[in-house]
Amino acid sequence: MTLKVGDWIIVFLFGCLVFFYFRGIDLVAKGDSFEKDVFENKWILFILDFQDFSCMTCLDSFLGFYQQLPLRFKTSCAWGILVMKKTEKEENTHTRTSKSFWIAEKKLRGFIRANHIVSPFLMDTNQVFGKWAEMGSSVLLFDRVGKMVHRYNFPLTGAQFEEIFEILNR
Amino acid sequence: MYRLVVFLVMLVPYLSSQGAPPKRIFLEEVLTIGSFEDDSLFQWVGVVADDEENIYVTDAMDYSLKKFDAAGRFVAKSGRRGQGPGEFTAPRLLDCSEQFLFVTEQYQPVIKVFDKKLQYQYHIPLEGPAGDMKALRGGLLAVVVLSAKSESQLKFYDREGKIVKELHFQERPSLMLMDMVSFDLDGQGNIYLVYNFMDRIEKFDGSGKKIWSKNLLGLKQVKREKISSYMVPTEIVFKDVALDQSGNLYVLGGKFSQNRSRDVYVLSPEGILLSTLTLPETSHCIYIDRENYLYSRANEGITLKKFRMVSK
Repeated sequence: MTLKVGDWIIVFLFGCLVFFYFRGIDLVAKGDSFEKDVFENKWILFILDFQDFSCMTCLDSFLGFYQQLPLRFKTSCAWGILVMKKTEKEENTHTRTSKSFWIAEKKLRGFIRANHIVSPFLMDTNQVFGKWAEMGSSVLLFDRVGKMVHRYNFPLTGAQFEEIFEILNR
Repeated sequence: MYRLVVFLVMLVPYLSSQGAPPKRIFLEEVLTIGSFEDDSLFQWVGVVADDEENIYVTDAMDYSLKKFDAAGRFVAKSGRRGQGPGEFTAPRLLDCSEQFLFVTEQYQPVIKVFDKKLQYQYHIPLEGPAGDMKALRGGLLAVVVLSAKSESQLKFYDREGKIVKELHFQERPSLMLMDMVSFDLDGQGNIYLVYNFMDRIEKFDGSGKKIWSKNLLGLKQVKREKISSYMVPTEIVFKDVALDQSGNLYVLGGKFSQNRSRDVYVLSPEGILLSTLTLPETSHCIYIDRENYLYSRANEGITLKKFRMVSK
């Protein structure tokens, strides 16, 4: 099989693409070892209690912490869950057809936009995380194998704040 | 016997006027701002309308001050999260003068001043966070300043932030938060206070002399709970007050009203209960503009409703 000039150009361009792709990842990893470590070893899950949206300063601690996280970590290793606790009256009402769902969805949208949150945030309509939210909004740290290593409730103390970043840096 | 009958006959017109069923007030919705789909309002807190019927709103969820025209169309937005000039941490109360808009912060002792184009102008420092605020004609600001150390006071500030008058509305020091009030002023300078955690509505004249005090719901005491070593009331009795152009008083009831956070008691300037109207949805506040339109909350702050009040 004989390759024509055009084919060689395509092969060359493909080779360049592959080279710069891997070279690029390597440069990013070497240039920011903190992000690399965090990226490879830790995950964060934020659990936010919908009731905290009624008191904007209740989420100041979350926002202060979130803003300290590296951008790449926020987009790759951090997720959020908004938990809406059901009252007796509201039993089985947090569905996509309920008014309370759409109210929560819109408030979450406003909160995310106003605070430049880039991590994916989900709404826990089925109360899967209901138990975890009983003590209010919190942050959960996971290690590489998905085992929960720590849980901290907001607002964080200064010592907890430092402890979390120490764990992430480990 | 004859005298008794004559007396009773003469008494009938008086009794009938006293016991006449009060006028019922109905609300006709004339404007809605904010829906589930759009991004105009996320959690509005304060509202005010100017002489051109523009509507201004503080939105706590996106830390902003927003302007809508008379038809409810979005005009402008100002503010973001922060503590710098024109930024907010938790924007709350809002009022306007002919020239400026005044915005309070929930936890900061400050009033932030903007022009009608929502451009930040300056700020007025307070001695404590504002519990309620009204802009008066003539450039004064009336503010209930909250304090943990002393009883709350109604203070009048000039444009430079200098206190020109103070009203001590509590005769004796009260328990924590029991002196929290919402207030409004009429054209004669009379002040109406509703206590947030007490069944009490009061009227003072401009010099601070109490004219009347009223217990509307027949409550003796509200529940208090211990929160981080402080005993504080947790059940709100009255949420807000507003005056219409006739000087009638509209008081939004809280937990103890038949329709919680929806019943609005209408009182005459003398404190006589004239009627009760019920909002379609729970609200944290009520506002009545210069054309006697009533504004309240819907969808937990996502929607602002404007109503025409119709007496039947």
